[in-house]
Amino acid sequence: MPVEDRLRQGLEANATSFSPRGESRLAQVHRRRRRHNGAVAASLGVAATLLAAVVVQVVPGWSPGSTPPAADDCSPLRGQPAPEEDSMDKRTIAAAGTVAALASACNPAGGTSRNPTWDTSPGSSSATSRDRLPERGGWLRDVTAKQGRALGVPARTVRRLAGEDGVLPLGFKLQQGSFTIWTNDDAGEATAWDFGTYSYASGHRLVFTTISDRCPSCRTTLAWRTVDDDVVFDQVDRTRAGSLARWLWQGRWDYQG
Amino acid sequence: MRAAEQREYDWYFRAAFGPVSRTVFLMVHDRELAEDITQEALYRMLRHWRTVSGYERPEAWVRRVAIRIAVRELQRRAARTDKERLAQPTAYDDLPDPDVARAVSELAPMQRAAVVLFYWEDRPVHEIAEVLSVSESTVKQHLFRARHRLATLLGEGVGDHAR
Repeated sequence: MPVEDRLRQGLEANATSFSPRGESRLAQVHRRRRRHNGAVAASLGVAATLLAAVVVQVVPGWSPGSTPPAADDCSPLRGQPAPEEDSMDKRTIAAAGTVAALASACNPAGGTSRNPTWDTSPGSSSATSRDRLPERGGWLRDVTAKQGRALGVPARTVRRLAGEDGVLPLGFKLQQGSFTIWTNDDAGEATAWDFGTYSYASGHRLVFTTISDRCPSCRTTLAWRTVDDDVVFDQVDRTRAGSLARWLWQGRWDYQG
Repeated sequence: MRAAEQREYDWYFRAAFGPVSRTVFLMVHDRELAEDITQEALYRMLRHWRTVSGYERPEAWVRRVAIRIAVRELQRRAARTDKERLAQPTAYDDLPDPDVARAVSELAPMQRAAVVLFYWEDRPVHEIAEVLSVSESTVKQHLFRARHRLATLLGEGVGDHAR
């Protein structure tokens, strides 16, 4: 065997046998932090659910079928400082799942009026015949570092999100009046990137209102259409950090039933 | 340091700690020393974060600092007397490939660094030259000599040349 191959094999074997204690400590801290975030999100969810229940009891004339309060009225989330758009800690999907409950609780009408399903009537597969997206399944897509840079996303943000391979796998899901968009890192771990409530607006537009501490109450407006089961976001506007939102959202998303 | 900067620094810390400490470990063959050197490099990154965060690849800066510290440490060790070295034996037998570890430890510090960066990290010669602050031809010379020395120590033949 050439010495080069022997070296490569030997170095790899020796390197992988070394697990830095600092790294395992970091992993422990990371796990604890994720558990903490999950617990905080869960308790917020419970608080918001109780709040929603109180609203139903106290506000006369209001019922889940009437006009819902605006998403911004989610009082437990008011007054939070808005951190830098590209600097938020990644949250776990588990935490986001819990926050989905919070989102729907903050917006009580979500559960009933926003539970669309695909229009499955014959001849309905054209691009714009659907007026709602389904709240089952989800959509996946990959974006590349090159696309991000072309859209003007800061190089550091692109590098951090797309990683070494320059590809960022993304997914998003609508559930009970809330949305979650998540990323998969190079190790294949899914982490929620952003979450909040969503609503439909005129002109075939979808409005996402963030409730995560990434950008509390920030609105992202997307012009959408469907192609078969996939969804295409053509135009993306966001309260701030528009280029980042365009990089993440704009384009075609593959439906996963 | 603002909270946003702190989070960004934490991210780089987590991303760099494992890979850098593994590379340093392959050079020094001492687990604790490898972690200490990596932590020192990361601490220096924290001290210079305002500047380093503006670089295109902050993690490359940490790697360069850690490898330079490791090379200096190896040079210090090499200057010690044989008796001092015998007092601190390295446990190569704990490793999956002790022969390669022993053979690499026979190399001069700069040769070790070049070999680890070239054969483990797959870094091109120009990048290794930048990390070690030497010319590309010096790196090729280090790799050439190291290959021949390792071939003798491991009883293997010499194959292809440096990229």
